[in-house]
Amino acid sequence: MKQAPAISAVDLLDAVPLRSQTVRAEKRPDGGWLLRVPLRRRWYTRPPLAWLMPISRERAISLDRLGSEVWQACDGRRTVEEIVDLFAAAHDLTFHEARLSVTEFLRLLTLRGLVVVAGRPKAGLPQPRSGEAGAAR
Amino acid sequence: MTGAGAARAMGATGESRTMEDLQAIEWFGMRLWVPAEWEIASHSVRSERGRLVFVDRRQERLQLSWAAVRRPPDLAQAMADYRRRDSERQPDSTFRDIVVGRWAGFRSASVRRTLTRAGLYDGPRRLWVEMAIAWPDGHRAELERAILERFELRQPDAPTSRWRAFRMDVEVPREWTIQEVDAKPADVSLRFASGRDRAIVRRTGMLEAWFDGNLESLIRQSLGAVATTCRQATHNGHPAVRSESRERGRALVELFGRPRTRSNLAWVCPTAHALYHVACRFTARRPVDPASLTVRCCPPATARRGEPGDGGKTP
Repeated sequence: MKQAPAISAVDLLDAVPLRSQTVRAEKRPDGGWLLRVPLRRRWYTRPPLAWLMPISRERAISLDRLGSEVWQACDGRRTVEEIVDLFAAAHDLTFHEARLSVTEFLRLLTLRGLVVVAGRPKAGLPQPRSGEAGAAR
Repeated sequence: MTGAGAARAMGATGESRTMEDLQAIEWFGMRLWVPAEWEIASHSVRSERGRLVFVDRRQERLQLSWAAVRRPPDLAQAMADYRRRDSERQPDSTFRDIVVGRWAGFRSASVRRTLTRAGLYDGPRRLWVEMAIAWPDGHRAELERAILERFELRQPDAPTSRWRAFRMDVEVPREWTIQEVDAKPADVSLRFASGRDRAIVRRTGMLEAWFDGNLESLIRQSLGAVATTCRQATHNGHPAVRSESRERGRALVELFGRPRTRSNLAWVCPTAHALYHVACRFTARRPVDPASLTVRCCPPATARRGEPGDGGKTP
């Protein structure tokens, strides 16, 4: 199988993370977010097995306040570098301190299907519609 | 704008970068000034041989390496070797000799890169120091000169040694040697040792994410089951908590009167937006006051009397 080329740290800074549109986000009273990600429908999640076993159709992921900051910053416009800058400024961190934390967190979000990391958008590429991501539905 | 942000903005104007954008780094008695946005990516805690590597946001920018030597090295030969190696790697390189202060070396320029290499030998410390600076966005003569010219070496008989890196600024008596530097995001600790005595200076940031404001509980937590006496104090003009505790040693240790004592000092610096914790562990015969390790948390301009400008000692 052909493997996808590894993204260098420099390329990653230029990449633009975008929140998955399939995720339902609910704001919690403590400032964090509760994200609900639909799970892929497998044969065993369908009736009649689903009638016998309670199988959840979505996975809930809870983000604390710091995670929520990064999640909200993934608006499809900001690059990873800009998100790192925001995080560093908000928490009085150096760029590299913030970069380690933010990129590791973005990696987890990507693994869980909450975020997609795309290359830097060129002129003419469609921009995300306003208010479609991040808002509680 | 943060220091790094300011430096970045200035970087856009090339040579307009001023000294205000440079940060001082002190490591094993070497002091160098580098742009504020360059951060240490790799470090060594061996005095005989080691290196510090600085990176900007995108790539490696500066490498400072040192080695203790028995006799003065042949600087010209060392630079000639580098020159030959660089010309093998980049055949289109052009070389230009440079001499700045005590540094002597060359600048190589090719289509792909520009690199400054320089070396110096310090007789009193018998130390050979090399510096390599990469210029991915074009050579900046003023910055090169500033970095090389402002480099300083402390006298080997200085009564204290100072460590300035990773947003820490710690000055310890000379007999305290560095053992380990652990730099994690928003959590940096420097470990020192003097004989059997140990000291850890730790700076932790992002307080709003984890700290409830109770310094005493933090110290007690770090000490575990050891009985501790805490008292309120002031350090660098900030409210602090000091603690003393005696470790229960093994029977022989108790018998010969050499139980270990722990002394802690912790404070929050609102200017640095960080918590500082100095923890010392020592034998009762030779007590160590955590305040004898000078930890500067905020710049002198914002400090009140008795603050970092005058050494940060406990009043």
